[in-house]
Amino acid sequence: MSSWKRNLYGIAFVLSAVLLAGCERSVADALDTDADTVESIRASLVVKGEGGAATAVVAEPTGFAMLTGAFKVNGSVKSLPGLPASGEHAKICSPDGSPLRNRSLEIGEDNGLANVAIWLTKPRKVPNTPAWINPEYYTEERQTAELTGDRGFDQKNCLFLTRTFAMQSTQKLQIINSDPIGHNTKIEGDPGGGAAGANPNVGANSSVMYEPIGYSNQPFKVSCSIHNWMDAWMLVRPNPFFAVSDAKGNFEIPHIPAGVKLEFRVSHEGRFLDEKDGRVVLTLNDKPLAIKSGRIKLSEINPGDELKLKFELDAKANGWQ
Amino acid sequence: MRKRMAGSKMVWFPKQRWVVTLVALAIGGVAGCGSPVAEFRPNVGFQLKTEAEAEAQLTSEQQENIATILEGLFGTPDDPEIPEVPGVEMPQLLDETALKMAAGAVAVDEDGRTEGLYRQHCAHCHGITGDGMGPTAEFLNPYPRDYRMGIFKFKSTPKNSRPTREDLHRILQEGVPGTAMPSFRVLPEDQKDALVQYVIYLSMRGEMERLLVPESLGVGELGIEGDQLFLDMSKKATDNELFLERSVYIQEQLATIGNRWLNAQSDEVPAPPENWGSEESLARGRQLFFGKGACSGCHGNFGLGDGNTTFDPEKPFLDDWTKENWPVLKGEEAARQAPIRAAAGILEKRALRPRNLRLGVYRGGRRPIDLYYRLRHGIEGTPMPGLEISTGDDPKKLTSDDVWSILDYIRNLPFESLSRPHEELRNLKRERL
Repeated sequence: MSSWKRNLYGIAFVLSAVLLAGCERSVADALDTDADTVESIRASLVVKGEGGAATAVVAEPTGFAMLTGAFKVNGSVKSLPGLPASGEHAKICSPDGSPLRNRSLEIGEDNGLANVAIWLTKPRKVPNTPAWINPEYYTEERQTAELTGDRGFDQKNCLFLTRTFAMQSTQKLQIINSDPIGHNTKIEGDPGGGAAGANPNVGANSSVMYEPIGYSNQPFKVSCSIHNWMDAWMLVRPNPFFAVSDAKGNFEIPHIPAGVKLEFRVSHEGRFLDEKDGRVVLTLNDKPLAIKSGRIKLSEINPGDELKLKFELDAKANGWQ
Repeated sequence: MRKRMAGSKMVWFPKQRWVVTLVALAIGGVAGCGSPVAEFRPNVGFQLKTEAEAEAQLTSEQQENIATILEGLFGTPDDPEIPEVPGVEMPQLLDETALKMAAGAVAVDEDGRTEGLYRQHCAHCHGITGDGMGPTAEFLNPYPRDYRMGIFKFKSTPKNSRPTREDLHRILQEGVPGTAMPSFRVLPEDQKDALVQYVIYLSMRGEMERLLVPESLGVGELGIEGDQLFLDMSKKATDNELFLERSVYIQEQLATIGNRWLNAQSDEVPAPPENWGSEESLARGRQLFFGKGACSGCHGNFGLGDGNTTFDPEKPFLDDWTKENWPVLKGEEAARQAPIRAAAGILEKRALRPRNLRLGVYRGGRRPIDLYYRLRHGIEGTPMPGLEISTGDDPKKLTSDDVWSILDYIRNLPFESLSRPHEELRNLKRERL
């Protein structure tokens, strides 16, 4: 190989190396946008003047129905490892040194799955009128209650006593600390619906009040900044149509609006229930019903109907074995 | 190789070869280091975290749709737009002239006014997008603020509230002691104001993006299914009801975002008690630091930031930005996301350390009122909690006087002998002499 060729290759190599390596760390590529589409979206979204965009008209309910359900686990489930208490409070959290109870998968009687949240997502905005929300059952007092004492959100022995807590955004919640040491209850909140985040220091054997102001689109995390094994879930909804399965895996949502199309969503430990891979088989009054990304669509509900949802969760497909 | 090759047409001397190589390097260097086009970049960290939660992935069309909507609302780094939102007094929040002054490339107009202030002073750390991922970000500790959550640490407003404009002004004016954030005291007021507005603008854009990502992935409020685009202009005529629902959603959310910024108000601070600053108050503060205030758990028995609860290698203290960029993932999803995260230049995970209170360096300001806000409302985006106060007689709860006393104790820590070991040694030497 002649000398000038060798030099040329050398230069080419250096150039390539420098060009390829560049001088900056890699960053995300900006995404392509089309100028015409940008303009048309801008024109469609930016509503000038008073009033803003009109809202879609939703049909009125014709009465109320009852929704109940049960979550059952099929197949054996491996036991979860306990949570090791550490740090200077370990002896207070676990006096005998044994690991704390891991509550992320709680299966009760008859294989019922506890702590599953179900809530109404559509219609998105439920009018607060007697046609939609039965005022005799969902009274003003109930909807604006201060959830205190036994109805509050307590923590004891360095564990949250309620694994999945649900409340209405118009209610207030007492965050209780039944331990002789302080906890920091970090409530993540949800910017989507405006559920307030909070991070209060809750002193020993004390409490603070939490006002969510807004709602959440799905359950969000609650944790303790001091004791890193402590966590729980919280759901805040703008209407009263929500529930969390009890220790036996059962739930009920009374007085749901009838005569209108409804959509509910279901999640367990931050994961939407889904029929894919055989994880969940759902029936409504013993007839198959689809559940995708946690969504359940209910239609043709008549006043006085009793709707019974049965969720059969496969332990293996859900990764619990 | 270096000897002259007789008879050859190409004759290379050692010196010339180096010159050529240097020229090549220079060309390569220039090509490799050239300024990238100023474009807003997607929030990849948030997208990946949401994808894992949704067990779904955004298609490239969906990603471009989100970018298109954002550009429709907020424009580009060179040509920012202020979205008009019914029900929000947007001119009170963002002023077009100020925004133009902060945006775009660095230049001076005919009247001698500087433009491109953000790129001149901020973008190298905070990034064009306000993502805290500018070219210098990875070398800084702490990392520069990522505005896109709308969360700012040092402010006078309660938790869950945006900072006031004065709070952001103050950060610009004073800088953040103990960090790479300098003071911009020398800038004229109108320039500082333009920068504050541009930070709010970037934050609002980021907040809107954080709503569109989960919506497009079907885990938001509207319940989009499959690979639908959030706003598909081609379907505007055929499915106007759907288009309307989503347009309304965007306007509602923009209104919420805008009003959060507009309604931000400093919290009222009760006056300190009469004995504030006294030995009695200091002793009370010390008692509360270890007791009801529960400060020592993180800040340690000596206030060195070495509390027992802070050293768990399995679960280190992380701020909200890091948690979002580095969610706990397992198996296939972790393997899928790792190269995407690396290609997007997500900053490495760093554990938080509670502040060493003996140094006397307070990032959010050293005035008593600044420290009161830190104690009362915590530091948003971090595990530092706020102290709940009670006006009643419940002995289990703290009062505002208690907070002032804790503040007394904290402010005294840098002056305790333990904080000044060298001074102690000097005194000992003097005594020996």
